[in-house]
Amino acid sequence: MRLALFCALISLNLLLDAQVPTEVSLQASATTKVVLHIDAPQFTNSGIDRVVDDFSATLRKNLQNSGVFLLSSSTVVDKKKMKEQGIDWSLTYAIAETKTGYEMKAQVTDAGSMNVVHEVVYQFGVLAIHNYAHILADDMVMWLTGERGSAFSRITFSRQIRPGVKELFQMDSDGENITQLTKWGSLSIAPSVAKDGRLLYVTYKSGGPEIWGQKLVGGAHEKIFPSDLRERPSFCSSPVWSPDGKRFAFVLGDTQGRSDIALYDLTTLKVRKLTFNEGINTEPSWNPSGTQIAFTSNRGGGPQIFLMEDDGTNVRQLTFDGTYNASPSWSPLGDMIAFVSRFEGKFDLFIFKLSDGKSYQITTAVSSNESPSWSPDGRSLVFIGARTSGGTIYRSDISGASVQPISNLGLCQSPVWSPKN
Amino acid sequence: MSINRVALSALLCSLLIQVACKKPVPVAVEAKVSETPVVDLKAAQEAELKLKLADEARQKAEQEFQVAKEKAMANIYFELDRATIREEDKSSLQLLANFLRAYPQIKVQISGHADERGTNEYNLALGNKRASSTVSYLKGLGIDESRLQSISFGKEKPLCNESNEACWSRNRRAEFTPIN
Repeated sequence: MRLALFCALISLNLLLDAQVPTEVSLQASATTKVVLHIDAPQFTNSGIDRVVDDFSATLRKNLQNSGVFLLSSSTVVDKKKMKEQGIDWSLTYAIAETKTGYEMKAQVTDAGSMNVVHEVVYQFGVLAIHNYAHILADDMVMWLTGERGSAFSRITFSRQIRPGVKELFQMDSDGENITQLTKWGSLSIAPSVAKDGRLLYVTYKSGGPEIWGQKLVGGAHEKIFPSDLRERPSFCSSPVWSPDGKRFAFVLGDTQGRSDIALYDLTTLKVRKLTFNEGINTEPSWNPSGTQIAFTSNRGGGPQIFLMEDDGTNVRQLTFDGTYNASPSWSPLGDMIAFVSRFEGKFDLFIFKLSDGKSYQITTAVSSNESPSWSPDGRSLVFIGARTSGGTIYRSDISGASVQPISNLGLCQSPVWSPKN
Repeated sequence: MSINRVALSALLCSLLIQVACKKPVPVAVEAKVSETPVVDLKAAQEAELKLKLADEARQKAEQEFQVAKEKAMANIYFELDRATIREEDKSSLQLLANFLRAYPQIKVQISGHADERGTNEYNLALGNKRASSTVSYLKGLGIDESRLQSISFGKEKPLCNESNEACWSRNRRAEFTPIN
């Protein structure tokens, strides 16, 4: 019932979206959000109040970021009158200490019928507190929409350590739990993460650009391309795993200044060029089924977004408005492509909806916004913004109505949201 | 060369010490030794002088090389989103070509850079194009391609970080680094 209501609201919203002209913000989706009241958490003894506070803060942050819940700030005196206060759902949860860690019970009550519509019990260790707050938030999104949320996911990015040195890092979708992935003391940039978590990136640790990564899940980082120093091209960049993780698209440059999209097959170890163009072809992005690639090319003059099949055929231009459109990122459902467009030297985020062939502006140029990457559930985008300081990682819902910094770290670039496994 | 000089100086000192500290020795031996110090000292002084002159010449050549290298390795710059060699930079590249002809053992790494007004990945490709067009121009001036190594850093290694044209124009560049 609730799922049906949510879908109906979403459909109505998209219907309205289709009528707006190109490069105008999508309608804010606040009307489609379910208003959620969260009861104060119950816990068995005062010794775990810090654990409960930690869990609650993470849960609230994740639910706010989900893009489908609006957290109610109303004080609920009489639960039977919640509906009158505009509340749709009420969440209660209790945390108890066990011999091995903690047990968390959660219940969702429909404010209209006052029936418990969902409940769940989890047991976890002290180190998994944040993870289970993410999991409960994702459960609630799934109960509402039928698709899990993206709270329990990681974002990988490159960050400058000192001038000329950039390393790769990873953090939870809410900016917590940051870990450093590389320590090469060189330029390590352009990360891509496969569904099984394998990493791929470019590093200059040997002097020139090389593609390094993990051939095995959890395996050591090793050089993947070029396999032989004699084959080192003048230039390679932008490696991106295919959805099945068996090959990757990347950019192969030559001494004539050309940059072409190529594929590297991890089974045959062979490289196959897909474009044979005089100019720049870069920033490949796969569609979810791995049959098509979006990319940036300046073949018509300035950079624009193009599409092609994964064998290089059927090349067609996607964007025409503006003089600089780049950084395509294909949505997990395959129906939209996020990209950036430059105007007066600053970039803004846009979404191209393939169903109607129109693009919609997501951010407005108070500062430059670059490198969009989709959340696994397709409801949010992560990107680099320069609102407060250079290179901060932000997230936005696809309407652009809710833009929030994920962390306070500066000097970051190229954030990529790990895909759903 | 400097090692030989040290060795020769050590030998000279050794001989002088031997002469200064000479004790009475058997006649046959003294006759043999009494002639050599005079000859060796003169030869050593001449050798020392030659070394000094050679050293001065080498230092002068090194200074000249450094001055020529500094002039020859001056950055060149590009227009926004372009990789074409500007007219005003052609004389700089001619100077570099002359330098490379004068010092045939020198190879050069040519790095292409971009300003912040492009995406990271597009700018890496643009940097490659800038480095390549510079290589191509130098080839046209007769420099063998095997001595020219191109690399792109896009906007990864800016010279400055301000968002204004003065800074952007400094960052849209090709840099030259000698490699042996």
